[in-house]
Amino acid sequence: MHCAYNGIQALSHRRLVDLLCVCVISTCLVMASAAVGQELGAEIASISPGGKGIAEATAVAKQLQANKNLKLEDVLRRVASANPVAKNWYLAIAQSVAQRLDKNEAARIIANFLADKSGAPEARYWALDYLAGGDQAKREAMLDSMLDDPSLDIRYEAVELALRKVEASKSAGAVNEKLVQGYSNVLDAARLPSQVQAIAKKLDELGTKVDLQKHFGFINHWYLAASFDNRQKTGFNVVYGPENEYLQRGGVVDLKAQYDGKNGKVGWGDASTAEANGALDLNPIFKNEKGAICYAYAQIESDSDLECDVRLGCINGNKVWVNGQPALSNEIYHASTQIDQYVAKVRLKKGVNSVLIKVCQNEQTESWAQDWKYQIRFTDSSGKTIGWRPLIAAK
Amino acid sequence: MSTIRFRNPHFIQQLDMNLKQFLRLSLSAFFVFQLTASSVSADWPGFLGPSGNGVLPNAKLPIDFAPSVDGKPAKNIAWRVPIEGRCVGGPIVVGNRVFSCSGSGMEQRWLSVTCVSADDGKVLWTRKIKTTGRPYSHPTSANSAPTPCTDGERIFAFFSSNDLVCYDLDGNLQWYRGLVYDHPKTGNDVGMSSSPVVVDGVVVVQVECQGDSFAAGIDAVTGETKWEVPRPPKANWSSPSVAVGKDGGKVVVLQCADNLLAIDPRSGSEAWRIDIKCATIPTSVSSGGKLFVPSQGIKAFELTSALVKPEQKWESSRINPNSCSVLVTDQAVYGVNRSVLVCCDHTGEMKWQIRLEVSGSVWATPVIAGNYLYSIDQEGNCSTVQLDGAEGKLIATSKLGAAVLGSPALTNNAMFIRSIDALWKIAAN
Repeated sequence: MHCAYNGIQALSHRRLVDLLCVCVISTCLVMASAAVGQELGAEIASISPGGKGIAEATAVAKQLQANKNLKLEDVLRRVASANPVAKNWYLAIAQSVAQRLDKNEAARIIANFLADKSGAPEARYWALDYLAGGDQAKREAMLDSMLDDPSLDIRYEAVELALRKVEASKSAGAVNEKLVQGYSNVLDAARLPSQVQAIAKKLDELGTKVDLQKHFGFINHWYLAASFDNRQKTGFNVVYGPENEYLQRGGVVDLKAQYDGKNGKVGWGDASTAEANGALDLNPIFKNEKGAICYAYAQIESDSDLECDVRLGCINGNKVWVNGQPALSNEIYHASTQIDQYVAKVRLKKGVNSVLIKVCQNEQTESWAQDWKYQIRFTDSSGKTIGWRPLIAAK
Repeated sequence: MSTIRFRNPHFIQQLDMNLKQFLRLSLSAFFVFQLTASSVSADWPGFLGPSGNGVLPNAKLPIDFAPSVDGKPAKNIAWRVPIEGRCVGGPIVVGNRVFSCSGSGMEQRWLSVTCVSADDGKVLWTRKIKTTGRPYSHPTSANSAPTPCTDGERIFAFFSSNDLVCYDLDGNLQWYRGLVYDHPKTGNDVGMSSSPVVVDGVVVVQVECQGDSFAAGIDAVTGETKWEVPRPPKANWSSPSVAVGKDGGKVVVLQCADNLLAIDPRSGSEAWRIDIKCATIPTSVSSGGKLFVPSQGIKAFELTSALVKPEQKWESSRINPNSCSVLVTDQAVYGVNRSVLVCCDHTGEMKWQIRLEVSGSVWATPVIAGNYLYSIDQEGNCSTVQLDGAEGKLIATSKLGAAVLGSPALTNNAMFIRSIDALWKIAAN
């Protein structure tokens, strides 16, 4: 009995010590795991402009990358709710974590993450890249079914692949009808303007004209008031008559109004563009005037309240207001331009909406610094045009 | 260290011993690591190399090279590693690792740093982040235009989109800054290309465009902004450079179309300023207590003390670098303007000039390895010029067959060239 008691006691003592250790270690792991979760959100995500809080984030990033219990899927999921700066921290940390995992295990986790389209687009693109591992055939096999992927980076590559396939079928002797169908399908999926333009060109070569203005959704008819003084680039922040009226009246102007301009009284006149890229060239209208500002005004009708992008391409200094609210401001002259060069989030309301653009030309004399033009459109966040109707633009 | 066994009756005692052993080993490892880390030196730590003059005096390289063509073996090309995307900056070298950046994917929005074994060209790791700034550039350039830099322990990679990321040599993220987060109006859609420089634990970036322009000193270890100074809102592609005075002191020199400004890298305070119109593409070079500034030709200043405004010694319009920075040896100053290589002595007198075999623009700043200068044009034609005679002599033109816009990196027995889409090692077969 005594021996048995001692035996049980000894056994219990050992088990107690073991159990205690297991409990301590488990508790530590749980606490560490909880801390990891907190730190993922609390330190990295709270870096503020100017780099405030970055030292703390740096320390946390080191801890996370050294933490063998950190789950790759947790880091990847964390990207979705992070701001653009924090996203990159999590992405880089995820890459360190993935590198130390068993390759098959990492691939399994990453494939699961990629398959879930609700994941952060940036993290999913990285997942695709990781799984492809530099193997183009593997990459293409995945991209084959991703033409409508919510990640624009993935979609871009899927479109490129689909185009290559249509080209290949052309080389293999596919009939025009099939080619047109193929290109048209890819056109629907494409979002990047340069890709859209390239596909439209292919269709054009096959005798199928794409109305690019309509496809992109450019506003093509405007009321213009010019010119106002911008000699020595002094007019960018001057609130001239049209701008003052637009802001004072909450986003509307009187199209019969007269304003004091650079060369005398200025009123509104209308102009249209037939350019496929939606650009309205102000030089022929205002005789290549230099050191001048033009205001452009349009109204559009939306079927619903919605948040969308206003997307401007303009090689001149510019400001944009939507419904009386400032949207874009870029005091940059003749440094390249393209469709969707500047993007801002705006709200359209159901019914009538207005847009005012201030297009500022400077006095540079170089041949490459003569353009005075712009194009603008409203899109969803992917770059697809939203439904709107021109109002005063329609004559 | 042995593993913990829960059934061991002497568990606690053993754990205690294990802990002691672990601590001993850890401390030993820590000190070994510290010694190793402190002894790590970068062979080519950034744009213009270890001395900031584009020269590696003891390097011995083959005078010519050629890729494999039609079954003929490559000549003096140890390896070529394709790198996804596009890059017009140069590589850097730390020990036996070569680092190069790239911009890939849609609109070159994905920014990578790739680490390659110098020995065999094996890719050791690649890390990617996504641009938070403007990724656009002229088709000639790229989002990945600046050359990265290193302090021997960390890689600092900067991009046209003003994303700045720091990894350790094994690819672990140290910190990341999206500078457009701080300066939303920063960016140039023609592209930006100023390469960062690291000095005294501070990474200095020069960000100048028509929008929000600034220079910043960022703590190399923590990523914190130590200082920031406003800069003129005009496009500028030149890089900050470290000027070393004869007293050994260091300042960071920032040049622009309005002036030449020297800054204490630790505090960001202005040391001195000279009102001269500087070039906005090539970068100033410091060597032997002198500073050579591209300014309507070259202006040479004597830096008696780094913190004291230097005296101009000479200027020459004969050596007038267009896009490339000058190279400086103890004997001479060399500059490439389009297809002409000009050599001046240290009084500014032109000694000789020769025409290189060039078929495209020359964007890549040349390098000098030993007695040979290597200049590569945009088409990948590399002119090798022998420098140890009375006049320079073009002794070879190698055709890489790949576009090159970034300055090569050197080690004592190899040259690493970053073409648009690949990294090459040039070394004797």
